[in-house]
Amino acid sequence: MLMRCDSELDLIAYQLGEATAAERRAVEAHIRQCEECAGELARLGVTQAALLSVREEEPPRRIAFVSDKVFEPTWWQRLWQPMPAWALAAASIVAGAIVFHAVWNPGTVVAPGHIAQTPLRRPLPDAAAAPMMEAKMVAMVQQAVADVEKRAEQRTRTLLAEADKRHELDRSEMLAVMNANYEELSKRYKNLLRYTASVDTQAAVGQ
Amino acid sequence: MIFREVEDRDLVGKARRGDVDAYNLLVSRWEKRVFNYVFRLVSNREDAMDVTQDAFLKAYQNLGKLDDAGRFAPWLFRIAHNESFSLLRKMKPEVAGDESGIEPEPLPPGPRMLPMETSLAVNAALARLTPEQKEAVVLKVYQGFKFDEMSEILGIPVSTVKSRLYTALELLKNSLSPVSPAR
Repeated sequence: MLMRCDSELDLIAYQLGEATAAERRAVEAHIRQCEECAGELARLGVTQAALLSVREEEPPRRIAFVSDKVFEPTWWQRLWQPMPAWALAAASIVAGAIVFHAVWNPGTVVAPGHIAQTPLRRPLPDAAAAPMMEAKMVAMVQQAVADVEKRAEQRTRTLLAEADKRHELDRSEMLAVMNANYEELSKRYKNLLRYTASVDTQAAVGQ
Repeated sequence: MIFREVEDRDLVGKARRGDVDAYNLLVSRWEKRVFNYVFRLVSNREDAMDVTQDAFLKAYQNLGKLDDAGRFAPWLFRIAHNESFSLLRKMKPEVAGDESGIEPEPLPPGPRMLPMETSLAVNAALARLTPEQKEAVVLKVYQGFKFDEMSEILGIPVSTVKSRLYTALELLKNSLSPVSPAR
């Protein structure tokens, strides 16, 4: 306990905002009649204001994001990670293309017992169709990947903008509260100085 | 703080499901606070930057082990605490060799003191505390954590948290707001 008076009140918890409503009321009632505790509380306030006057530092550079190299998983982590969206899209298109190809060119599926009679691969009805289909497939994959990446980029931008806005609001509110606290504490500190001076004067007169 | 907790919980949930942007948002939200916490413990910007980076990386890799997604902040600070003290333990012989062991008593901040002088007085007063006492002050005064959250971050009972913090504040008060000798 900080006080030399007999009170069991926890002034630090009060000053740090950890006191319950009942404890706060008790402290406020007590300091109205105990100048020693009022002075002690003012000193705690000045200490807290001095500590808070030291500004926060800006990090010298930003912390790497998950998409940066430092966050790259090891090979064993990569095995356990879910497949990214673009890979899933690409895989689906490739799977679709394989099914489509099988339907388009059923000769590639060989029934047992027909190996000798059926050629392994019959020529396509149109020889020009294969490269065309392949080019189309590549274009589709590229388009799908580009779409997914674009959406992800837009989402990141939106999330970051929202975060910045929220952070700015938080900061303004905090500054306003700190300024109000600082003014209140300065007022209390001045009162304490006045009280100290009056005690000194009384002591001098007494002597 | 309640809204922030809800949002953190949501972001942690998304990050666990592989949403990279959600974790990136958690990084941008907490990087400055974690950096300042670590910086006040290790007193070196580059070391603080490295420790902060490592803390976020470890948090990402262990996100699945976080029991309550709403307690992301204390959990992240717990990781940063472990990383910081691990570094301090490694640095200890070197740091001890640099110190004279005697630090001048800082001048208390006065009404006419410039912000820079106040800052120096505060830093000098904080430097006289033990690392554990300083950390308790940083978590409470600068980071605004509640006693139970501090207990979670530091891995000690609330009573020990209070004991460390109260001793530290008593020392700081004597340095930064001393009683007039005339009294």
